Amino acid sequence: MDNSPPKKHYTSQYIVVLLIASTLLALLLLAPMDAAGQLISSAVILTVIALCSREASFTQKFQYFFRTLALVLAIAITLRYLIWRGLYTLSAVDVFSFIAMWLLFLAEIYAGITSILGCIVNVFPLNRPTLSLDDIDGAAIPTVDIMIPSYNESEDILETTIRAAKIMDYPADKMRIHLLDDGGTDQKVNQENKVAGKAALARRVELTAMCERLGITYHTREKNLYAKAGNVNSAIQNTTGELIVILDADHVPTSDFLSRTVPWMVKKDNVFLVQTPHFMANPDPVERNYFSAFTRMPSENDMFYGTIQKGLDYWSSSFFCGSAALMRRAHLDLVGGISGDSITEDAETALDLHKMGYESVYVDRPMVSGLAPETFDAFIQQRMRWAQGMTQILLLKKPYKTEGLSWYQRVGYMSSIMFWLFPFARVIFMLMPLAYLLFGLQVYHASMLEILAFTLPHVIATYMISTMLFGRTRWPLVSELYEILQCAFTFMALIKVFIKPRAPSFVVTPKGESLDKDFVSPLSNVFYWASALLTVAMVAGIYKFINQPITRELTMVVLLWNGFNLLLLLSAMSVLLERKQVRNQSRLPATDSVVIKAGEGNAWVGELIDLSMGGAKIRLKGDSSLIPTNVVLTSWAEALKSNVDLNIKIVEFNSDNNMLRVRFNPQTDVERNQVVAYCLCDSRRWQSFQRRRTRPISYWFGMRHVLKVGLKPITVHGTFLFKKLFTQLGTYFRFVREKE
Amino acid sequence: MIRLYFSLLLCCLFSSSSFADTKTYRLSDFFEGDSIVRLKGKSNSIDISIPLSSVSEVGDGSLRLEVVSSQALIEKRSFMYVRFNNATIGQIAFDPRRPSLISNIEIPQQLWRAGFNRLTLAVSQHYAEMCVDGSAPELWSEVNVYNSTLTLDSTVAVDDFNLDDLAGFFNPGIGGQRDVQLLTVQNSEGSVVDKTLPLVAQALALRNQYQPLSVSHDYIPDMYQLPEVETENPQSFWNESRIDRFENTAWYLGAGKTQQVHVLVGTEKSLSPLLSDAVINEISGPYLKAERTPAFLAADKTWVPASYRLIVSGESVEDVYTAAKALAVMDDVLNPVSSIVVRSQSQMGAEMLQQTPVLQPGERYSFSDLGVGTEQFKDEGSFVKALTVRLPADFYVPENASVQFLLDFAYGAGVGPGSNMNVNVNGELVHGLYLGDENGESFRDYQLKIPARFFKGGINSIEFQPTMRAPLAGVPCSNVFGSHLLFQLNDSSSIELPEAGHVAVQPDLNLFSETAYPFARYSTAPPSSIYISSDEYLDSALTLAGKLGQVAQSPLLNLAITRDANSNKGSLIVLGTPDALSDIDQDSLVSAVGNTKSWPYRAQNMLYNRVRDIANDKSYRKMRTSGVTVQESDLGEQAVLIAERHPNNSATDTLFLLVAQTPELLNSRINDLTSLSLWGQMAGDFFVWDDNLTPLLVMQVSEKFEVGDADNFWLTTRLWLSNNPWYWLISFMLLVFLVSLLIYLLLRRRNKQVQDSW
Repeated sequence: MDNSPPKKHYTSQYIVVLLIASTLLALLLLAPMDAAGQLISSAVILTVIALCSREASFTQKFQYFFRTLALVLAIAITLRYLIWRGLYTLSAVDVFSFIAMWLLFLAEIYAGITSILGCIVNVFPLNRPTLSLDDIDGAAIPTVDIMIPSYNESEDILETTIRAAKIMDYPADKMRIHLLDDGGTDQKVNQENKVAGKAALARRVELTAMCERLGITYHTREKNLYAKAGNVNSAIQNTTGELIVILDADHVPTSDFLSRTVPWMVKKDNVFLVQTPHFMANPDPVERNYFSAFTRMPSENDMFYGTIQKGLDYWSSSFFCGSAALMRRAHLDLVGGISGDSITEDAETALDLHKMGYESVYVDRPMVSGLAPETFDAFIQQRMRWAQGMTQILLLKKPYKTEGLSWYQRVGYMSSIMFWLFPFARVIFMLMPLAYLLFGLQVYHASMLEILAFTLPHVIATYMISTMLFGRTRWPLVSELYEILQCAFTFMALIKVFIKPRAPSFVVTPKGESLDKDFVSPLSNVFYWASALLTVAMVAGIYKFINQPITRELTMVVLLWNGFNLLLLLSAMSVLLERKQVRNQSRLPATDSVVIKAGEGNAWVGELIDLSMGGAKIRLKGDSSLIPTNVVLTSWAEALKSNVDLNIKIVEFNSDNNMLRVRFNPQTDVERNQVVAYCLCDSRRWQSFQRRRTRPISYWFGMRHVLKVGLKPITVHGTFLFKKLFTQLGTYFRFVREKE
Repeated sequence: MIRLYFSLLLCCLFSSSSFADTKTYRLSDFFEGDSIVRLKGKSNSIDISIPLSSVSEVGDGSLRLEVVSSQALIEKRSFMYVRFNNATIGQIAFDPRRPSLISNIEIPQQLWRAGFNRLTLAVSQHYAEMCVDGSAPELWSEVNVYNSTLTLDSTVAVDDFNLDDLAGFFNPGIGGQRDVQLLTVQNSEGSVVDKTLPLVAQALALRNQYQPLSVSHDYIPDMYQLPEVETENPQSFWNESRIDRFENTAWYLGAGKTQQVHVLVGTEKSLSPLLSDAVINEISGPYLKAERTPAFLAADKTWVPASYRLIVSGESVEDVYTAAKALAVMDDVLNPVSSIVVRSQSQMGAEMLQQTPVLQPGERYSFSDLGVGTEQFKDEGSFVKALTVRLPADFYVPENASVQFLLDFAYGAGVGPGSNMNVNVNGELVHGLYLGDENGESFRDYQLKIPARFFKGGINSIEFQPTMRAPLAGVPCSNVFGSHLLFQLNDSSSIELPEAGHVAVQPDLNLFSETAYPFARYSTAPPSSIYISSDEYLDSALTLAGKLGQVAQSPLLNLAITRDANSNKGSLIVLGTPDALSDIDQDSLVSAVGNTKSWPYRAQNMLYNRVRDIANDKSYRKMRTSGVTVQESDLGEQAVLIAERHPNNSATDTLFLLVAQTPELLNSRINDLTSLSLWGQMAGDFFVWDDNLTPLLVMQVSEKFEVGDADNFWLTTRLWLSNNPWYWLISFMLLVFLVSLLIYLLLRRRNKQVQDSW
């Protein structure tokens, strides 16, 4: 028996000293100093941040200490900047300048608060160990209902998801799969529009047949109340599983999904949620149209799932993201199922259960592959829903003062919610240079030296910290680009929520759309206008710079600011240029060894280059010139823990590099399952792919890449616009000629 | 009896008769700017203001102009018009065959008036009979204002000398007094010489405004000595009546300048041998008296000329000081009497007086408050409306503070392209406005925020420069005349100063010359002194005290003369010769001027002859200027002024050493130093000169330090931290480290708790 006295913790003492030190630090941040002194200090602080960030990027004993030190320094420099702005720079000469000046300051405060909340959330990302069902007694394994809500997705998409769900490594008697069809409800079938009603009925019949064929349960309901939340809640009443998995229609699970998530539920009874990342198997419009580097640079949601959710998990506030998650029925019952006050029912449900003291878990392993919106239109629709939903939670649930949440959970939720208010700040940051360059409003009352001493270090520190926290999962300027793309549309959407918080309704994001030709997004007009406006401001600024020597310093700063905005805006143009989609399924890199077998005992050995549900690219070894058209591909399928023999058809063979393009040609149900299992149900494949693209890069490399890619499409846009104009003119002349 | 009356009559006649004094002045004495004035365009003009003292009566006056004109100008249509107070007194025809000319013009006596007289030199210039382009470069002529002169006979014309005439005697205009003699009795109480005399010197110098006043001091002999007469019987000559009359004259002056005012300073008791019974009877407290002393005439000879005498007296030493204070602050025009007795004074603290001429930080002043009236400019051309504001010498504001103008101005209809208004502050262009509305515009409360860094402690010059151009006719050889053009700046315009602390960087001779800092401060008036080792230096000390009062624009009640070599009372000016300075501890000074000189030669230091503009230099860079050569030598003809941190006093004081080889030379050099030409050239902290034209050497040799009080905690902190950013940085880094460490420990603990719960 250990009789040694228990190790003494000094938490209370630490907190007291921390409060005193923080108070002293706050006083120091308030202390006034001339710009020359501040410039020296800022330079030293930035150097220390750079050194700490560098140390924090290596795995070592004090990695997290250096990370914390860099974050505290950056927060301090941001606070000092905001204090200086508030105390010394807010003076305006007229009412318009006054309004503009305060709008800018409020936007800066918003950006500062968001940045600080972000620092707190991401200070200590939690890395959980990998758990397995093997360690759990069979009797203790809970029953699971896998629910696949659907609204208007195609049967193909649903079938793939269902087949993958069936392959999941879990005792068959403890797992039931349910298709929750909201596209075939009684309300849909009996709607006034007879054509649509017939289509809904046909959908219901087809899906019922499919469910019978695949051996799962088909659910529908009377009315489409509360959208997805209502759909799930309706099914919950008709099921009994202890745990509930929610998978969006396009979210294909890997075989180990349950075996890696359920143990967390078994370990602790008060865990209500095990969330996993959404791995997108196709690029979103930005990745496809802008970077064309889906496989080489981090995806947009890599930052959220790869960094932020881990940070939130540390603070017990990782939240439900609508799919790819495991939930406990008993806990859901306590809050009446999935919450439906907002159109982001997922985060809202998590909030309701967090405030009751239940815990969430985030498992950072991609085990569900989904589809990102294909078009910019769909992408914007999805983001508007998220922005509106999170704002609804802010207004209706007020997480900053919700009882039951600890302070860090409030910080976590506020960080996630505040982010979505970015359109206000982004619009102000974009338009404010115009106030000065075009209208001569004095919005920033500071000398050049002060800008160098206070503003620039704050901006640099923010970027340095951003690179330290998210360098692997987000390249420089990408956030700015995404924000610029969304801000015009989400700005209006947010205004509507602030006016009527309960008004927005759930709109399903269109997925699985195919783009058979290049075209310019119909949402482009606002970007044309904005670009034109900023260009005019640039011209006005240059004129001002030449003709008004008194304000040349300030004009130069604002010109640089406006130039940066214009550059981002022009870069955004390439996203609006929707490029043709070559294949239905996006191919992802793969490295599996394969054997191609033909009749008569001929076989070729090769390696996969890329892979999708449709087919694959293979590099063969040795002479392959005599390979026939219809062959069998044999390879190890981790999901099935066995080799699979898949019928394939050779589409193209390049004898120069021995490269083979093949299409899967499954003949039976079993083969179809094998294709799904082989292509989509191996989480190691997703993990490897994700690791490949989340490599750290230098800030300058990332920025250079983004700018380089961004400038290219300007000419392409011009070409498209001219083509469009010529086509219209041609049509007009043809019409005139025909009339004559 | 008849004889007596006759003598008195003669005496009065002589006393009121005046001797004309002919003097020649350069026009550049009255004109701020370059010595060559170029007049360009079809028509142009300059105005030169010539001040005239109110006690002067002008006789003959003539103007000698040295003019050069362009050879392109044609005869008959190219002239220079010379106007005096708007009356044309001469016309000079330009002749292309004789481009250089000298012209003499008489100024009619009746055109002169007391105060400012305006001399206008206007030109009309043409290179052709028709189609003259007004902006053609060949349209020019120039006046050499340095070589051009004004010669004037003037006499003092004061019959009844009253106190209100003091403003006429001590006046910056022509006829004003440039030196004055102060007299005290031997063995006067110490404070009369050391405390009251500097104040009297300042009081008189203040009346001279910007013109220097050389002050000398003499002791009145205990007893008069009757002049020796060359008669057979001197005793019969010096009868009682004559002795009485002699006693009433200014016999103590010797052969002084009789047309000038001299000043008697002392208690009633000490001055009683010189005063009449009537005057003695009047002294019942602090007393000021202006009186005319009669001449002593006898035997067809003026033994003692008549003179103007100012008496500063009282029943006690304190009364004398109070009288001097009254003299220093009084508006002469309110005293058209010969004497006053001061009964009490309020608001007479040294700080109060120093704050009076200075604009108060945080306050708003309309232009009319500053004595600037509404100004209208007409016709085509460029105009300047200058505004001078005096800020506290130790004006200290945060960098982002602003001075705000609310301008009321308007311009009339019909302006053409190129019309604009620029605003300059201390020579820097800070704002420009295009006057582009052909229908004219009127602005009310036109807000103009100028960063306070454009302003400095002391005198600041703000210039509003409207330029008006006539509209284009659009037809060749047809001009639109600009006579309709009008610009008006109203006196309802205002200036608002930011809140400020009171801190100055020392040593800085430039600031000293502009504001008398650190002897004149804004928020406090700590005692400060001028040290002299003996009365030999008293003239120099008084002249310097007068000059300091002038530049501070207020009497410095905190300034006194001291004989204590190691005075620890505030900032100190040490006057002396190298020998006399051996009493002063100079060991800790960078430069020393005792018998052994310690010279910071330029080759030994980084800065050579450059002087940092301390007022605008916020870098606080440390200068490496410690190289000196110690040598034994004389100063020769030159004088040296050195400013350094006071080695004995607290950090808020500055020590000034002003040294020349002999007391006489020192007095002469101080008169050079206080001249208009040299005083403004003071800069740095090491200043050497040997005439009143240009300094021989100007250097900054010692490290800067801040003096003053930021007035509130916020500004004090700002000042301290700005000077010591490393303290802030080190404290900041330590606290951040501590906070980070504690957060890290708490985070690690939480991480462990979370992991333990798995």
